[in-house]
Amino acid sequence: MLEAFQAQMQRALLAPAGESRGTGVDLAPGPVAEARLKIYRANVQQSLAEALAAAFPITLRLMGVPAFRAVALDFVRAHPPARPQLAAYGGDFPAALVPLDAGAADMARLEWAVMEAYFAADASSLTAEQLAAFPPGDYAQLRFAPHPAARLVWLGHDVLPLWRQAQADEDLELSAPESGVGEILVLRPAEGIVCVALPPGAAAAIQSLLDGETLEQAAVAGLAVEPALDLQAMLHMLLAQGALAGASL
Amino acid sequence: MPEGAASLVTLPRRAGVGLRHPHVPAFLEGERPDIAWIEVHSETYLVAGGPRLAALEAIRRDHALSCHGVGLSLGSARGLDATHLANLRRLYDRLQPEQISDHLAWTGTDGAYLNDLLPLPLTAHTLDVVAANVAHAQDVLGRRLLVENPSLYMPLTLPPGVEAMPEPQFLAELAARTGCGLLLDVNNVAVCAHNLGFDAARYLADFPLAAVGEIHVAGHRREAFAPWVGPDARADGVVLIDDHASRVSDGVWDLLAGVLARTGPLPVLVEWDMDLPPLEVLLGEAARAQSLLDAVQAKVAHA
Repeated sequence: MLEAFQAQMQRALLAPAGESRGTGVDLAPGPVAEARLKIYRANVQQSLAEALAAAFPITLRLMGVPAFRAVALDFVRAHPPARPQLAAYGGDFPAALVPLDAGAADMARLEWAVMEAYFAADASSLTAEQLAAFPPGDYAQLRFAPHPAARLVWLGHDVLPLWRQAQADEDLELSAPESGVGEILVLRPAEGIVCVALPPGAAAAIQSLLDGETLEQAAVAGLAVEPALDLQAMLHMLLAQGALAGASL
Repeated sequence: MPEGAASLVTLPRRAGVGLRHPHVPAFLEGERPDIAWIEVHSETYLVAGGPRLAALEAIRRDHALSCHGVGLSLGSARGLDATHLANLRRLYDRLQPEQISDHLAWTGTDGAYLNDLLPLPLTAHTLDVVAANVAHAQDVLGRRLLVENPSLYMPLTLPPGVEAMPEPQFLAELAARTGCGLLLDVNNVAVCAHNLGFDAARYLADFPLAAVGEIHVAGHRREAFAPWVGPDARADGVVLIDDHASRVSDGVWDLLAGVLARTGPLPVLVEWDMDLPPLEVLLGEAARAQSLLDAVQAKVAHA
């Protein structure tokens, strides 16, 4: 009885408001219990939609409350969290926005990368001194361990300027992001979040490093995209922003 | 109980407050709030690293800590989530909380977490399920668990021939079978008594107070659910919602005083989760709880 009750009640709690067919609960018969069931349904769906609103605050501002709320409620009904960790809930939400609003979906992907970076494991960062300890002749064969917070995001809209404006001014009305290449590295040096807009070619080179390839392979990958890529400047940036946790030959 | 009653309470027998994000800076900088202990929601800190966890570890150095879970789903007919249990074990080993707790509730089935504490039919079969789950949790977590009485909104009707157990009796048997402690949420008693139509004083008279290791109080709101509820003779169309978004009601303070007169001092937590007030207001509520604790302490001293 308990197992059947729980399956039945869960179905009722994840049903759209107003949906009555197939959402009855045998242990909750009669008008009072049915009405009270709606309190639980509202708690479940609204609190999960609020969790998404907390994870994607700028996406919400971009879309406006009614549009965000509608898509968030649809999402929570179809994809409730798999575990009781709301900090990890919403990774699939950006994909759900794509058919509706591709610009907002890209903003959501950036916000999710920021969320993941914020809660990623702690690790000390590779320093320039540690790197200098390797023989210069071996640099081409170095492989790097990325900092657990480092996230590379490839976007089809230029959302980073909007994201920054939204952070700086909580009341600013946001305009829709323009399409264009957005390659962003999200990092967590010290205690804050940093988003770096990457120059052409850098994303390909950094992806190669994050995948555990050698510096030489990363250079080839980056230069294939942009022959003028400044690899030294890129490496300096990665060190300065704590993107790397270690290096080995 | 397999262990002596003395080990049931390891938190200070004083007033504590729930630690919520907006108040964290006040605990880290300047003059630290004068409070004996804090409680956090365990699941909020199930993250790999970063500033949130680091801040709690820093605050924990100066305060006794209770980790209060909302996601074990102790009433799940299908048992507990092994990954979640392992994650909690890692967190508790890291934070070394004085006490841990969760609820007499379920939070989802079939691989879903619904972010709410859902009601259970209290039957002999459910007691078997919850007892097995509590024993399993205590085993994996390596700690005694306190189980809290939930707030309820919906009356459940059992099939003919299935007998309902009163909640105090259910919790007493659960504690006896598993050695778990109980967390008595006095606000939840007031909320359930109104919503389900029973007498809070009688419920508390039956409650197994010897197993209680912690008490919660919080605010609730009255909501007229007329359009949904219709003619609800049981509660005049008014439902009490356990929203933890306001001061503790006078009725709940009175119930708390009555409980403490019977138990003597226990750790008492003021919970405030939504519409957070300035920290001073929350500490003021804790001071009111502390004055009730001081009063029973004085009586114990004079006895």
